[in-house]
Amino acid sequence: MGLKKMRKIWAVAKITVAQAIRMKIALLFFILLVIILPVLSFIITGDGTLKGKLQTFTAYGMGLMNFLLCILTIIIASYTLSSDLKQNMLHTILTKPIRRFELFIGKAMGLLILDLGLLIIFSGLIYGLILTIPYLTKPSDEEMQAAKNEFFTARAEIEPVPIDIEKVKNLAMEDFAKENKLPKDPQERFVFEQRILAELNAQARSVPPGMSRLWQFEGLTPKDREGSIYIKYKFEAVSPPADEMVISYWSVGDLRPLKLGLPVDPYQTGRKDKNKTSYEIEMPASLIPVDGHLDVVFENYVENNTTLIFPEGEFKLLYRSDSFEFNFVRACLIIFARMIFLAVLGLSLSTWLSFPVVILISFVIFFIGVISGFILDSLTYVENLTLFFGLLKYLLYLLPRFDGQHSPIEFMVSGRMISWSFLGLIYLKLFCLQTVFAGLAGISIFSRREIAKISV
Amino acid sequence: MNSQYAIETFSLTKVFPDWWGRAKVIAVDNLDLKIKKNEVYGLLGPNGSGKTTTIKMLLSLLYPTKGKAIVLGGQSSDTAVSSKIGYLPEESYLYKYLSARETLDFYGRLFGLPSQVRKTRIDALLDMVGLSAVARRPVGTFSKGMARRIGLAQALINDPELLILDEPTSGLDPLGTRQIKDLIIKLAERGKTILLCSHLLADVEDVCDRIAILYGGKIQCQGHVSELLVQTGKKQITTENLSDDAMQKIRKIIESECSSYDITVPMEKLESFFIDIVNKAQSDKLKTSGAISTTALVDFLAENGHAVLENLVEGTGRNQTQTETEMVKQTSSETAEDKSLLENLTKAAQVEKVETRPGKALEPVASSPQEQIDKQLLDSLTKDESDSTEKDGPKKDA
Repeated sequence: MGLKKMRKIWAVAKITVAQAIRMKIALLFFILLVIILPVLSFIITGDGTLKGKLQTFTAYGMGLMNFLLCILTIIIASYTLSSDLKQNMLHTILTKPIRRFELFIGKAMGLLILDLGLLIIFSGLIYGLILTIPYLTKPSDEEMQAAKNEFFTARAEIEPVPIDIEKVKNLAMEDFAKENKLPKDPQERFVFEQRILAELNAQARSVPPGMSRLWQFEGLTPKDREGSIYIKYKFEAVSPPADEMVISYWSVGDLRPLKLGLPVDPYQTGRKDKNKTSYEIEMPASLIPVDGHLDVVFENYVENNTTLIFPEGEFKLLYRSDSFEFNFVRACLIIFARMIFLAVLGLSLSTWLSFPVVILISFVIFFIGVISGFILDSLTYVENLTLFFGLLKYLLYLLPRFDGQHSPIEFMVSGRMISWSFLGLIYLKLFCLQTVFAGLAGISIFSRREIAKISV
Repeated sequence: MNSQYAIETFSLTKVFPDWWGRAKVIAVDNLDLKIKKNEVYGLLGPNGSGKTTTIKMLLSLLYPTKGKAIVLGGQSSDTAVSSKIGYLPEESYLYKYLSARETLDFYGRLFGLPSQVRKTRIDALLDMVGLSAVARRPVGTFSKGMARRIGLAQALINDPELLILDEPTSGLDPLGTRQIKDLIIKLAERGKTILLCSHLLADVEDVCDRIAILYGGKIQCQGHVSELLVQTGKKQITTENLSDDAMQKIRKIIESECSSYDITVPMEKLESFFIDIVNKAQSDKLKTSGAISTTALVDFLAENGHAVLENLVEGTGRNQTQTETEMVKQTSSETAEDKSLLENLTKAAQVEKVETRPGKALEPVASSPQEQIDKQLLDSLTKDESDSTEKDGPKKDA
């Protein structure tokens, strides 16, 4: 019984693939990508270094593949069912013993197979081109090493343990209360509290000249203890020096024994870095003790004569935790999840809308996904959201997001690890929630609607 | 559920509303249709009389506004029911890029048929509709008639109990039309129920047991074709050329019975004339890129030559040459029967009521004149064209 059902679904899937392949558009996109990708790998130079070239090619190549495959999926998904409906193909098909949901699933499966096939071909092509770039450019050993460390890797990114500002604020408030310095009026007291909180927040991110700052990391588990770890940072000088250069001193290691008066042997280095520029310091992973704790002390030289501010999220510890290849596969799987969503969305909409409307709505949802991070970011700075913006915000949360931290391409470019849990989360949200919702809505409409047109 | 009916509708009504939800057109109006099992039922009516809408409601492609339709004891949206239905829509809706074989294979898969059965049936069907030679050509390049043939083949892929044909002969050449009509008769003999919907009256008249004439979504008239069309009080005799002597005898007999009579030389029907010409061209092996028809269907039409249909039903191949020889035997014995029948005609004034309906399994009329004439036509199709010149068509002239 189940086998019979599968046979029907499979028949529909096969027809859908055949239909898509015979649409000239699939061929056009195929040729476009097959020509553009190799050409891109030759002409792109990036910042002149091997790493730069690899990063730029990955950004453009994967970006283009993602974009074109998503567009192709939208076009085919919007076309396949709506054309069957329009050309009355379903009169013959649905009078056969196939349930409407089986037809829907068959169509979705066909699109899925097609998408998977195209994705495998093009991601394979991109991977091949990425591997050939180092051979064609003949880089120096140094460049090769940099590419290996920062591109051909999958590095986990760890943020330092955050300072519990709320707790510090409460302590400060207690002190003020003891000294009877708190305002009596509750309104005024609230304002006062907010000011202290803002002050503490600023303090937590800034290092005045001649002062030092300690960051602590917990739960570090570098895969390769003989390898390297990297501290990635960027600071902004409040009053930048004339040459924009800032001198600093770093001590990294397990500094906890100092509290007990025991000696320590941290990794130490002095640096001269440009203001507002992102840097990475490489150091041995053996600095991390078995319990995964690490202290990082940063010292702002008094000669700089400026307070340095570390913007939020710009101070991180990185270490290699997986191979480039596995990361690449995970990145492609994220793109695949998007394509599945778009395929099911297109099918679902075409159960009750005509082709032009379906394709328009699908494109709108796709492009909103591409810029929703930007819109949401801008909305977070709006203090009092009007009803419209409030609704917009929730609507955007409901729709899938394809940009910013949800973009696998950015992970690949910076050699950042896409963790399985991150991938799982994306599948949970994009696939299990949004795709299944779109699919069920489509199936439920499709099962209820009249297939034949009114003709008297 | 009354099991004697294949299709039963109860006050089936379909109202198409306008944009505001107000009733705009009443396409089908309280239709009570009762189609018995193993009946060839014709739904007639002018354009827009609600024939297709009725069929679409029977097939759950449209939902009734009121009333309900029971098909094979259930709802046609139930896969158990739809697996026993074959449907040929008013136009053959086919995927243009699939070949004829791929098309049939796809529909076979939708029935969940195993690949071996699919293959045998597809071969038999392609043979039957005369498209074996073009089986690998995309359906999109087919003429309308050829697409119609594929449409018919897909309707038969599951060996349906109930066959619903919407304008089956539209776009077909006279040969194809004839084949479809013959096929309908044969399928009926095998116990199938057929609902035929057409506005070509000749099609319906030739094959249907019962007809209903629809107008404005209502049945205006319903009944047996023979009962509805028979001209009571008139008789017609058709013979081979007779000697003057025999003619005189017949004249005398008739003059003694009634006052007025009319003797004419019967004209061949254009349909059978056309079929003869095309048969000749095909036997001369003239080149064509179109459908090659006749043989397979004629083989299968021969009284005992059910080879193609057997393949359809059982998915097993049977030797066709054997069938052909059986058929030849059959037809030669029939010619002898014909002669004795003529004698009976000239002797007895009391003749049985003319049966317009061709051979039928339910109530086989052993040797009605009409059936004999049909067989003669079959002879003309199967035998050499020299034999098949001055034969009468299947219809009596009014």
